[in-house]
Amino acid sequence: MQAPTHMMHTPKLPILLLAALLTLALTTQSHAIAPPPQTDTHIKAALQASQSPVPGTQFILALTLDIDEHWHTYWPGINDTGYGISLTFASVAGLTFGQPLFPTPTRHIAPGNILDHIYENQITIFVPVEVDESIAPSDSLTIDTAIDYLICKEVCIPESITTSITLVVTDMDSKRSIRSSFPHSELILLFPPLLLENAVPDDSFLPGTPDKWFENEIQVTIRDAVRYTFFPYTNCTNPADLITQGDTESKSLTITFDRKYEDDPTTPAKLSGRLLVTMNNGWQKQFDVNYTQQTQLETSP
Amino acid sequence: MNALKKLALTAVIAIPAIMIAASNTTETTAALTIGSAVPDFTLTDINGDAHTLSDYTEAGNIVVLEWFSPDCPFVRKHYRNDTGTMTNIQADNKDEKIVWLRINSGHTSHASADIDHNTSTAKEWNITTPILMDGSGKIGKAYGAKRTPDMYIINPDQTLAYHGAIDNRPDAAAPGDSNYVATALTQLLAGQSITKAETKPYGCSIKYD
Repeated sequence: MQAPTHMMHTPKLPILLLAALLTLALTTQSHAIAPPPQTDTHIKAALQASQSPVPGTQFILALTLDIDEHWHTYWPGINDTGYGISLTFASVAGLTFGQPLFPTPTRHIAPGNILDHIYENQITIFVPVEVDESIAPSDSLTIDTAIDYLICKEVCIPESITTSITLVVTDMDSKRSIRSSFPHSELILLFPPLLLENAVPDDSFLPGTPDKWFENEIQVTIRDAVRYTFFPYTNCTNPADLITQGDTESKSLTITFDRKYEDDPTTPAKLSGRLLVTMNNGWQKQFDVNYTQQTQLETSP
Repeated sequence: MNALKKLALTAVIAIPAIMIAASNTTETTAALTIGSAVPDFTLTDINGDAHTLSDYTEAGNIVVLEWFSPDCPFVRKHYRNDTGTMTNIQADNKDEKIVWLRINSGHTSHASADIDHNTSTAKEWNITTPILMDGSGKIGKAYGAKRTPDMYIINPDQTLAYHGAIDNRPDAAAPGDSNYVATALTQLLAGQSITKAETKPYGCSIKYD
């Protein structure tokens, strides 16, 4: 029997999100110092925090990127061309930055069967931040972020920009300093399954028969799903035909892997990425999936 | 909690409205495999001279095809004065029977496919071997080339010996520390099999339209 599947939902995020939403209507007390505007690049960046840092808790940073009209940049996953956005946070004593949560990109298929997953217009990237208990209230913390990306239209240009935000640490009693301008709605759009019942694939999830695994193929079935769009992360085993298989109106998603680039193609295959699912009622759900081929299957008769 | 659920449901319903429709446009392109025969072609270079692949292979040459764009940062990083990846490989093999052809498959409507632009770039980057113009994209698509640089090594029997990236660093900043094409050429010339005959290419998209 095919084993376990693992859904990655960034466990602490629901709590953070709920906390942020509950305080949404409260009075704003801004502690942020805005950086100077950037004018000579094709992306403008701005950082916001869901609330002031409180020792021993977490908050969410929202990095908003405004992309010049008609230009696009790249999802940090598998693409035929370009390279993905990368973020680098300068070390801040007392703060631990979590994995960035990128929005789901759009598929762009250009002549020549060139498939890229791109971002246009404006996107927001969320970053969970843990605040150490040792930080003293009223301390001022400056968070500096470097953003590297390739921006393309007729031509492609590698660009690097920086942005920063200065936050004042507060104590638990003053925690109501929520930012009213924080993009909560986008956070919900990015992770609707976090607040929905029955959003996790049902127990009948079948990642394919062992034989199909041997053929470097995985089949994902989610109850009531009628369409699947898959956006692989860089650690996903290379899909063989993402143009056809990565966006399919079907009750199941089938991804065939192409392992010709690997030094050792006998290692377990991995399906890792963002899965956008359209249900039979028209709703859409998004999941981060991370399924690894079970090694014991390779020894099955 | 109910209010939160309603908010979330509203957000989910709103998603279809903000999704950009995915294109389902697909084309038939080549899927060349290592060891298979590659398409022959005749293309004209930036000086107006015609070049036929089979003329070179039948003369016993190994042919390197480099899909090229003068405006792509992934290409440019290999032609900077401090790198010179492509031209250095050529110089290292100048006494061997190796022919290096660059192919620009950008559509003629793009500035990167302008002959004068390619000519001035060739001069600036010390490129002395042909840049072939494939403005219709026919040859690029026949080979399944998607990006610049996209590297192919053709055996003298006109079969595919190598396809993939120039090296192991898929960004636009600097060359990698392992050059796949240089290694493949060395192995071919030594009569050895190529240890990495297929690697994952990287670069800018070829502007076929």
